[in-house]
Amino acid sequence: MAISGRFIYVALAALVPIIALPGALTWLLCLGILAALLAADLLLAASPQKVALQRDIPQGVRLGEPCTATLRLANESPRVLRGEAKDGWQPSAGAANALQKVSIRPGERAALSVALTPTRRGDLFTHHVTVCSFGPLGMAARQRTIQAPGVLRVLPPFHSKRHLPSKLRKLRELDGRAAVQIRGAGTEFDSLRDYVRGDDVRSIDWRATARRRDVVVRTWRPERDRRVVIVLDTSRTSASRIGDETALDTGIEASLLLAVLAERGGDRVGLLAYDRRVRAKVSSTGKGNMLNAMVQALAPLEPELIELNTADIAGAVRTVTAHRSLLVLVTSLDAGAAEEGLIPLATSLARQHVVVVASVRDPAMDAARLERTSTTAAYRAAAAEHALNRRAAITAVLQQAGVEVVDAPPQELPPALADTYIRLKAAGRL
Amino acid sequence: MSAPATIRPEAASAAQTLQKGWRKHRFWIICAAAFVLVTVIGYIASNSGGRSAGTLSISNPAPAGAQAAATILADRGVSVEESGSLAQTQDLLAVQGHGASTVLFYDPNSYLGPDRVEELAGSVRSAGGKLVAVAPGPLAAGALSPEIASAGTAAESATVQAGCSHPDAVAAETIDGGTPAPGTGATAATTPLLLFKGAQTCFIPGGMPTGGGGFLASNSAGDITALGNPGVVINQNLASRGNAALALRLLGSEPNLIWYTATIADIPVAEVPPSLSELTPSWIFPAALWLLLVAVLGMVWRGRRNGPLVSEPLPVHVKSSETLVGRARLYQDARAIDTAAAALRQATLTRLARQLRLGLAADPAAVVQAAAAATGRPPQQLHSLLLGPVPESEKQLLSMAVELTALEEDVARR
Repeated sequence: MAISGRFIYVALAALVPIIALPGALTWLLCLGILAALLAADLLLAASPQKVALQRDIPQGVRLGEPCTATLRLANESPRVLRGEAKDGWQPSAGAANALQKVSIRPGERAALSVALTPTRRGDLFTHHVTVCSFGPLGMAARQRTIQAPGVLRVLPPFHSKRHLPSKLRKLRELDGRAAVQIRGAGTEFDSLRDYVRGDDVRSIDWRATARRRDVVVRTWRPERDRRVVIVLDTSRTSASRIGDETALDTGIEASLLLAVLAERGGDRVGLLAYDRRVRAKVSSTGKGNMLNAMVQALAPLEPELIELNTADIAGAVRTVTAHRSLLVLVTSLDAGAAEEGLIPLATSLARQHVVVVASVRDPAMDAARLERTSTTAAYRAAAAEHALNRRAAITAVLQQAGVEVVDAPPQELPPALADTYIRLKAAGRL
Repeated sequence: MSAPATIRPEAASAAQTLQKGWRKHRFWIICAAAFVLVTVIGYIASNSGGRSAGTLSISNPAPAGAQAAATILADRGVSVEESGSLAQTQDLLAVQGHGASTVLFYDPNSYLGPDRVEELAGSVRSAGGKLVAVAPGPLAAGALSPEIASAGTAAESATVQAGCSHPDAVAAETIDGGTPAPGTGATAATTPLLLFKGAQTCFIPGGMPTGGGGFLASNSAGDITALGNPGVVINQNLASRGNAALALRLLGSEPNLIWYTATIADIPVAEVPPSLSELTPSWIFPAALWLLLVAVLGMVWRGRRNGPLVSEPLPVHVKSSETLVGRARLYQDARAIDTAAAALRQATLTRLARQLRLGLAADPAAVVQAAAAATGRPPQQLHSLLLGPVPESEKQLLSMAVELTALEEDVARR
């Protein structure tokens, strides 16, 4: 039950007879009239029990993009449903107009467009719809909450998409350069073509030249159909907020850019989100749009407050591919977590795979290192130097074991990782 | 895409709704029930048996009450009636008939003025009854009878001899000279000790001059008596010495006893200060009450939520630099100048080695030499800056940190 401001005004108006005609009878009369108004309105209101709901929620929306969820209300009672309906979205869904006035004639339906501007990645829920049905006088309402679950999947924003054209151009240049200039780049035989001046004489195919009158050269192209496996660490170190976003969000951005690039480059991409168990697994051997499958799988990931189980990562990788592949570990280089787990893991994996460790570097650390204006700042600079020394040491150990390390601030990690991929591909190390 | 499913509210039976409501509000329902239970039990307990807490009340079994005396008198065939006002006392006197009543008058708060006490004494006299005034005030004592007058107060003493020819006093022989009776060990109740003078003055405490007052004074007719020691009548002391004899003889000589304790009802209406409701216009109170009702309705209106609260699952995010700040505070709190200096020097050496292309495993002394050559600074100075003794104070640490930065800038500028 609910009452409206109109009822309050009527109750306030009853003050006049209460003052003008003092006495118990006036009180009884006023209270009686108010009770009668309340009862009549409640009885004549359409039953909120007899409402059928339909939800129409967009399949997936990028973080930061507005969308509209439609809620259809069908009035199945014999009276006009006048009142309000509220869709119970959780606050981070950013519902601008969750509470809306409705007026539906019997047997008809109305669509409520709820404008949503999600402010958080992941699955955002609404669990219920509250229907408040006023009587014809608009004084009292019957209110009921109907359980009507709905979920909106908010996908990662993929801001690093803007780097994609330039990186793809680099990748194509790689293709062309392999054909015209460098014999060694690329290892796969592509085709035969006529010699043009400037071609490396070492690429002349003498047997083909002998069959024809012209000199023929072999062309090579970078290897295709190589495997790229991205392992995304969702353990406790991914919960650290660097800049505006968590390390996990930056890792997702970097993974998406690399995956799209590698797919366009003709490689097979697999993705694994892992802490102590597999949180998400995507493989481009599956059918359908790789990018879509990836963002759908990555959307609900949250940092888990548990330690990364480095011992089982190799096994998990083996479930994605059994072949030699480019293995990208998106994790943290922070000391402590790295020394016990990451270094033995990366070095053992590097025996079979080409391993790249990608880690987000905190720009605040570099800023703290240079700030030396007070004693407190000097101590902070010392602490920052200490952390950077440890990081540098871990990086050196990893590089000695043949592991590539990409350590960049949040904004620069995705393009840096993409560059590393292109460099490795150009060098034929995949 | 398939059409979205239609959701209809599940119809719940009344029992299910009740069960749900119970589960939801169980805590508050139990709280409210416990509150009501405690209140009711407390109310019943405080009023059970018709007890009262007043001094000298015939329904008070506490040490200061007078239930014992009243019960004994009732057992002996005296009908004891309680009265709370002068008008009621006069009514009772009229009902009980001529010459059949004793009135006990107790007015500790002096609700009755002298003229009203005089009126009471007149009523008793005209009804042919007896009046026993317990601890009347000085003005009231004078108003009872012109022969009786207040004679001040007395100090406590163990016993007081009758010392007169009043038959009741003679029968009692001795009474307590104070409350609690010294030697009885009872300490619960104390009452004032007043002295009176009359045509007959009895129980004059020892040490007082013979013309002084006593605890009992009566007029010459013997129908009006002032008793200065209420402790004689209360439960605590009734069994002590001749207290009971005196009390029961004074109060039980007639078939009826009116136990009149003056209450607030005795104050004449005109003397009560006007209440707030009399000072305000008559419509204010009902209007305010109605406005209160409207305010409650307003609260219901504004306080009704549009559906249940929605929870937001908040993931854990930790600021990355927190460990850095924590380590810095640890350094500072422990004044770990050596550790801090070592970290700063190590970092600078590593960076200089890279900048001067000496490799990661370069000897620090070689780095110092190369840096001196690059910047033109004296090698001794750079050696003491990079490899010298640990700074001794925070001030030196700070200047060293600044110098290290300056050196790196110098090398980079080259």
